[in-house]
Amino acid sequence: MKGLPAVELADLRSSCVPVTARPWPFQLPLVLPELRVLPTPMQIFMFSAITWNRHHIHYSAEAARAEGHPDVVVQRSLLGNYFARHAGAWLGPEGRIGQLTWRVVGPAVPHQWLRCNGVVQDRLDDADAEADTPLRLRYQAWLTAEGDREVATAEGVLCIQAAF
Amino acid sequence: MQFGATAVTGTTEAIGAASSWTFEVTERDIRRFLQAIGDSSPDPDPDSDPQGLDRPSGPRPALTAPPLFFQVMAWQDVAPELLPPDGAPVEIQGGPSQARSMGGASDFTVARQVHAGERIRVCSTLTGVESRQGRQGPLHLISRQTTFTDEAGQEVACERATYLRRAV
Repeated sequence: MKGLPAVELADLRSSCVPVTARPWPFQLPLVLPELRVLPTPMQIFMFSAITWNRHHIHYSAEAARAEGHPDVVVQRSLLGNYFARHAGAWLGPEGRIGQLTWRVVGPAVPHQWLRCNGVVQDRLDDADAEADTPLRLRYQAWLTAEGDREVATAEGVLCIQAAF
Repeated sequence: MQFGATAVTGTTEAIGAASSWTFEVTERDIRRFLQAIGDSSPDPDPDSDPQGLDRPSGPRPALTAPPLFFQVMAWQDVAPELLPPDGAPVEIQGGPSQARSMGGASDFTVARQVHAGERIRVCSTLTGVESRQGRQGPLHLISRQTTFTDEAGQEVACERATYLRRAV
């Protein structure tokens, strides 16, 4: 799944047409556009502030280094939001994330680009589901840092209203 | 804003202990959370046309929070002197008193996104403290479930999270 063309977030948004229903079926698995993010110390600080997370590895580089990290560390919770943004850019305003599970496998630090890639893998509902029932689709994604170093993996359930 | 928070620490004996508080969702917090996650989605200016005079459909609807906005409600407002030396949230304490907290995993189920003006009841329960032998010594896994319930009594979201702590 690597080596996909990258697009800026603004392009992702403009490609998400705010429709009330999507034609179904569409081909699965569906590779989603890559989302690139560059965490900054300010963003990490803002996220700690709004979530009232006072763990010192998120605001003190000295404390983070004392614990073996190269710099302040991007919060596990913030990494989850990168997945949510990635899926949400495809879902558009009419879809929603029903479930999102992610696991951190390596640290992310400021000033290093992160790439979020993923697929809408398959449909979770019974194929005979009622036409007015939202489609439930399985989402799988991964977040990598420079050098393709894996930072986090995710799975989720995306819900959209589809036109049969 | 939180109301009625109490501290709960995570020891094996405390498994099952729960703490709950109420959180009032505000536009200010939603906007700050959007900035913090780098989401620059266009959003109606709160100070323009608040009565919806220029909107054929009436007043502007309440601002919708992003799906993981529940994270804003998850840590209690305990006093700094009650935090461990590393400042990690009291909800993820467990295992040795001197430990480093690391990553972990989250599983969020979201029934619906919340809106500004709602009051959400948060209930945080310690569900497990498990010790394992890791490559760099003992590793402690702290599991916690946090539910978010609206004023109608409907559960709008639930997070099951596992936090890792390693003795220093």
